[in-house]
Amino acid sequence: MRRILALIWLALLLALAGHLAWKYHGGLQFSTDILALLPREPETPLLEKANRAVTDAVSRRIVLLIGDPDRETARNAAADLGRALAAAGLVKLDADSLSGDRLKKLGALYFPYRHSLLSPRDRSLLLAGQGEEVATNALSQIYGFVGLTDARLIAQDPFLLLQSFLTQLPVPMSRLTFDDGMLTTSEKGVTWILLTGTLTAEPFALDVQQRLIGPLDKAIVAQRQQHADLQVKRLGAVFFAAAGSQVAMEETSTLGLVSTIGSILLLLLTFRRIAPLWQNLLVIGIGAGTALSVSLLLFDHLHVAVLLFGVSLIGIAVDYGMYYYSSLFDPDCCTPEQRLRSVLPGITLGYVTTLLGYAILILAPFPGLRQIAIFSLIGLSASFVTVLLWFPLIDRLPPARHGAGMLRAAGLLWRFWEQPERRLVRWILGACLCIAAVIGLLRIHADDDVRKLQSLSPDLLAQQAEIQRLIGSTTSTQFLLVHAADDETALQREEQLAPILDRLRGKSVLDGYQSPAAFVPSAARQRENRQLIETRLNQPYLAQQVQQLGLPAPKAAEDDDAVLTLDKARAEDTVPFLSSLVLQPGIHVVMLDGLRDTAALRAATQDLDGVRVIDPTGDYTTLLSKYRYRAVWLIVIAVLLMMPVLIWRYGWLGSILVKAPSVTAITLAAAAVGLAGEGFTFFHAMALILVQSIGVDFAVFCAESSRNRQSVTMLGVWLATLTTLLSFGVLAFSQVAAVHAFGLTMLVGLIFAFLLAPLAGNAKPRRGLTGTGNGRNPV
Amino acid sequence: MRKITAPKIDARRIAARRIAARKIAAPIAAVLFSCLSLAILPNSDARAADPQIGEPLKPGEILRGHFTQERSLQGFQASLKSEGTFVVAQGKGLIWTVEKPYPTTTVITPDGLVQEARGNETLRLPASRVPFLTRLYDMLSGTMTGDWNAMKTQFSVETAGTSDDWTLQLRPKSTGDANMPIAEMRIQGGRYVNDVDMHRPSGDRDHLQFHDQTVGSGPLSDTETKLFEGVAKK
Repeated sequence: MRRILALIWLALLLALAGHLAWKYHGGLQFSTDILALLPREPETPLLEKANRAVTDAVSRRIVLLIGDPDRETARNAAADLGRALAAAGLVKLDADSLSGDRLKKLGALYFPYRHSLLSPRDRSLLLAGQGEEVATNALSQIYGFVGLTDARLIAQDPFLLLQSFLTQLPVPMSRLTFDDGMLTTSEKGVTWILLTGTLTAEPFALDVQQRLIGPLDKAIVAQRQQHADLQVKRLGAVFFAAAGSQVAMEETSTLGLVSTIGSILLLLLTFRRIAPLWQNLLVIGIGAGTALSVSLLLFDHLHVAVLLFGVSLIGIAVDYGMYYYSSLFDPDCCTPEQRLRSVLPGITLGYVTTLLGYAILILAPFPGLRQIAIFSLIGLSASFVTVLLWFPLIDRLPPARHGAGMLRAAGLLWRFWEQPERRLVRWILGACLCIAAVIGLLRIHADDDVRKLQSLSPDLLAQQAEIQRLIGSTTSTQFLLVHAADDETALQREEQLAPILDRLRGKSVLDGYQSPAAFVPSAARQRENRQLIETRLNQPYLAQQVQQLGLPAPKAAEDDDAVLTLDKARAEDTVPFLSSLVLQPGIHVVMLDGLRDTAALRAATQDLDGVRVIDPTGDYTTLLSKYRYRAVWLIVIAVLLMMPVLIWRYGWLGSILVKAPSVTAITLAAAAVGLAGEGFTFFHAMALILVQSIGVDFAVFCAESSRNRQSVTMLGVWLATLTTLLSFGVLAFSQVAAVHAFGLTMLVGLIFAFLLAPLAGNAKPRRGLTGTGNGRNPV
Repeated sequence: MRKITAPKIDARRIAARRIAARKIAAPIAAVLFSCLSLAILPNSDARAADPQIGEPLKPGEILRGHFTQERSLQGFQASLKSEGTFVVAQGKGLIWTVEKPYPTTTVITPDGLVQEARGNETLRLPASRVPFLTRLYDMLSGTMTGDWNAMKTQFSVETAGTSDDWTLQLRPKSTGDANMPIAEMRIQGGRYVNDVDMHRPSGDRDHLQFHDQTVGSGPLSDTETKLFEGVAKK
């Protein structure tokens, strides 16, 4: 019977392996954007869309700044790097977005509407009845220093209103200008050329990062070999993501080496056989492979963190293998069948409780968390079935004879908890732990700043700051979302918003802003402008003005009901930045420069209808905090959910004894985070879930263990602890904040789960499961 | 009733060009500046490249003078005339003060260009926003040290006449550059620059005449110092 089931299992696994191979052949892609893991609050779809559109646009931007003391060298290098970027086929360069041609188009677009457009300064002068001031300003310019005005425009626009409007357009990147077709700025004798582009592929995909950055770096190195003074600074989510992957890979190779070699040595030295090693690897491998294969069936996109956390959670399956193989040292178990029977109640209960603990993650409204839960449930189940069906068939090992010393050593811990003469030591130890727990828990504080968790490369952050300083761009990640039924209403709302933002700028809350209404005033505002120009400028001063200039008498005003519309302005992408400010009709974005006080902005704009402050980083941080909070509650629920199973098996008191070690372990692990002075994050909480499951496993193994098997059980627990520490505990040394958080919690939690596990030995199972260990002492 | 007429299309094109005026202003200013400071000591001995033309200002020297400006603009019945004074301070920059008919002050330094009218700032172009300005500033300082190469990167220069009465003819080297605001420029001078005649691609013409120039080494007035310093502000 077992043979048939094992064969069916094999067939199933082969099918899944085939599926995996097919998927792999088609090119497996994992998303690496950490933010993609996080849930979105049930926001309105509108905000979702706005958020995504802006974040997407931002995350795909690529900025290179190329500087050299020699202008030509800088320009040539920029052209060369532009070609290198274009050759990779992943970037759409927009270097010519503001070229001379664009300027001409811009002038041609606005010119017919010059009677409806006013710069903020001219408008406020006219509103204040100071039309004469506008007229004289124009005359001063026309008569002033050569070259500042152009003849034929003066004839059409004797008050230079259009010039004033154009020069006061709020254009970001304030320090850049066009020099012979290239956006340029210069400082301290160095000419900097700006190269910008948009990624056409997902910036968080590993292969995109490699295909882009490899050729780019090569081109930079080649350029620098010729020009020693050449500097290239870069900015873009893709570079940050690649640097992150780089750190992760370097760490994986060092930490991974420590953990792999450590685990192999441990198993070889303990068993002096190769079989337990490869069979355990088989269990984990089947778990991970099955989970991956099935997950790819279930989900379109799998996040790399799902893989990471998922495989981690499946890693708990090593407990089963270790527990099984520790039976090699049990002189009472001579056959594989007996070995399995002796550990079956333990691993079954462990499996069931872990299943409950992981399943609870499905309840969390995180897309990523759900994937992790399902991934690990599948993997864990596959590992469990493999142990159950295959181990008795592939295990051909005779009982091991060399384990006496190890068993004695392993049993020491159990005896420590039982010996009456150590009672005092235990009490003192318990008191110390209580004090540490209280102090640690009192000192615990949450820190959900998403930027800290991402551990951004300091070098790239410095380059980013330098680029922003050089080009004078201080565009904030925060922005205002204006939504209304149509464009006209949205533009009018922006016009109501403008004086508020101007006042905030006066108070240095922000440096500037770009709103669609500054480029295209609302139709209502355009008509009002026309009225202002007619009554307060043309009627009183036009005749005088043209006479003064010696111009022919002004033509009668053109039919002037024409209004510049947003659609018209956006056609052909003539007005820079405008398209990125209009998401869809009636939904606009107001970009902010140098915002210093988000709270002040919120307060100042909260009374405006249809205007909302969006703070993506802040929002993510808020979300992380909400879900950290929720994850902690999920742990509590998981503990409670496991209880019925444990009560059924061990009775009320017994269930508490079995639960106590893991609950104490997670409490102490959390306290350790507080004592270490780290902010408690969602990643700490995730590790606590794993600690909790492992803690229950250990406790159940001990509770299911008969008195004469105590040493054997403890040896299994020892081995499981050490292998898990080697794989997860080492993560505490990671540079990546999130990984470190996970590792540190695992390290501390696991040690206590292990140390306290024998306490559960006092709980005695009431009823038999499939088969109980032999030689059990009746209670 | 709307009719698209030829002049209107022209006007649109000009409107487009207007936007670039801030950039165009800078090169003209720099060229003019260099011309003004170019030729002030005509009787110097042979100078290898251009023997007819005098020596530049020495550090600390200040050139002052009066100007009249006549702008002949297409479509205007009369040319626009203005007059005023100017100050060139070696190492500092240029102050261009229009006194009649509408008082304005334009100050150009290596940091950029600022224009004021009746106490209000009407235009500000920091050099960092207009690298053109910096580049032409290089040309300018080259000229002042007798190095003509910088000027010659942008213009072909023809010289004629004697050191008492010389003429410079400047033509842009690249003819297709839309950003080049000068079609042709004629500079006439003796001890000082006397006359600059500038033709714009649009057909406009600026004619400048200088008189009563003096070179001194006296200190700048407080107002002048303040004006020069004002450009770097902000």
